[in-house]
Amino acid sequence: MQGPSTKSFRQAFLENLLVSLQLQQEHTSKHDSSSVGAAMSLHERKLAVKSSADVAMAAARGAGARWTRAILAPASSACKVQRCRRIVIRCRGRKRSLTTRSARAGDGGTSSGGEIARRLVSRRTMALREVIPGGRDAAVDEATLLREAMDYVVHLRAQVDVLRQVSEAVQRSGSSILQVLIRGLVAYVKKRET
Amino acid sequence: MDGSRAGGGSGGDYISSLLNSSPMLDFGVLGGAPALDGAGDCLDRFCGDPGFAERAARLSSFNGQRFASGLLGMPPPAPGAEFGGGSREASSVSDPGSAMKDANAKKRKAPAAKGKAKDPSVSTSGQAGEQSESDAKRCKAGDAEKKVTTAVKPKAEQTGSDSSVEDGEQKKGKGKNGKPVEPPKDYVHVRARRGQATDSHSLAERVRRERISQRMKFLQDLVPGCNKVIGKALMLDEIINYVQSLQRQVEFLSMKLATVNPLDFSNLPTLLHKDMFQACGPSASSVFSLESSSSAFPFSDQGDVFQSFVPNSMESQCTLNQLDLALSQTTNAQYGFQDGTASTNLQQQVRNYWEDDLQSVFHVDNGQSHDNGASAESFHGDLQAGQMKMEF
Repeated sequence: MQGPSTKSFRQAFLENLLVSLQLQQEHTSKHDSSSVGAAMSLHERKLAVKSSADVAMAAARGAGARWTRAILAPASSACKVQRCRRIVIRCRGRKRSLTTRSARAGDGGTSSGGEIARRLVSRRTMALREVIPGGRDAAVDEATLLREAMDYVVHLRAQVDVLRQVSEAVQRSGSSILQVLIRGLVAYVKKRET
Repeated sequence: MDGSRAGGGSGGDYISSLLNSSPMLDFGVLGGAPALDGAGDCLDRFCGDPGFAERAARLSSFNGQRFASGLLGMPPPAPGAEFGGGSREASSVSDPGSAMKDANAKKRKAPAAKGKAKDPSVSTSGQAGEQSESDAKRCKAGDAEKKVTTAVKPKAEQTGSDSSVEDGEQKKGKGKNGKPVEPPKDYVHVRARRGQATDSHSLAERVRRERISQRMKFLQDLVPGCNKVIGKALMLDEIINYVQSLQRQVEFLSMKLATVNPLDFSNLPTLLHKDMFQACGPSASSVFSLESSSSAFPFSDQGDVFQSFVPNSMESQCTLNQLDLALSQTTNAQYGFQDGTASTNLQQQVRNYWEDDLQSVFHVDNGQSHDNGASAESFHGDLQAGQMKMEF
């Protein structure tokens, strides 16, 4: 199966990953002053890498899609606002689930094939909204959601590929992530020149 | 995974080009003068209706731009080819009828071949009777010109969206598609259903539904294993599963990266300096040959190029010279790579992400970020940086 060309995206993603990891490092070391350079737990490190990767992906994608804003936006707010936002989202999610539940309950015996199909489709559309970043927004209609999903899938796949190659290289060479990333980027740049 | 690459720009461009290209696919092909002449002929033959042209113009202006080539370029070759000489001699009323029947038969996915095979034989024999019967079947509103317009509609352009629309209806299972032979009133790329043709609401909804089904088709191509699945619900299911599995892979890989070594970037400059001092072996030309020897672009392979880095760490460390030069000129957190401004913009976004969370007291950085933000805005008009600045 063929996919679109994501070369420039991959390069941008790599660069951003480098920057993002380093900034994440700065962030954590500054926040808890007691543990400067101390090893975070594995879970924390994983979260750091994952969020760096997501931010890097969103930044590398540029301004063309909604999901990038959804990924990049929450970090710019304070913690309290974030909590509020989470609450709002949960409420919205609960409201939606309530409506679907009531629709299901009030159905009675009159459920033709078409209605069942429609219900399935709507439930899955909602599930898709949960999965795609930025899909929870009520302003996103179905067509836009599908397009966002397409875009997100393409770039997510590229992200997975890059991350896998980086981790393989790190394992193979035994050097640090940093060296691997830098070498990879230098290779990219060289390749671009030729 | 992503083995083959289509040449071209970023993923965003690709997707918008995908979405825009399919309706326009055949327009360029048959835009020439001969097609137009043929169109004129066919129109003369088909149109018993004097007001046809005017009504056609009105209907097509609904979706302006694609009108001309779509309307005139498409229809003549197909009907002409199908009918051969026989149907031309028939009356103008029967012609659109057979044209429509042929078009409808062609558009059905399953009986497509059967319809085509049947039609020539049908059209030559007993045309009149069948025409009246099919006309009676189709004529709810009894509009002759509507039948005519379907005859002239662009067929080839519609087959893509046709089948998708058919899919959409069959998937949804709504009861609209009652009649077996159903003449969708196409015009350029908006199809009006029988009985609701001129209703703007239903037309808009048709457009919306077509768009959705078109996007579902693209998603079907993107998501592996979706080809066998037919049906909107099942496909959505597959898509959701795929996205979730990709996200899980990202988590797993990030966990793997986290286990390998501590994320320690504090000694970056020293690291680079050390590499530089350790070895300055062969020149950069060997790096170039290294690159050319690898089969493809570094990351389009499955990590094969990284293998080549390991035994040749000397060369790559030598190239770090140039990198370090760039590094030393910038601040700690900004890596000025050779494709400068664009990467700076993106880095700026990433920086904004982290620094606002930090509520940083590094005024120097903030000042720099403001400067960079301004330059970024001037460079990329609609880029995120500006919006993100607003949000602060």
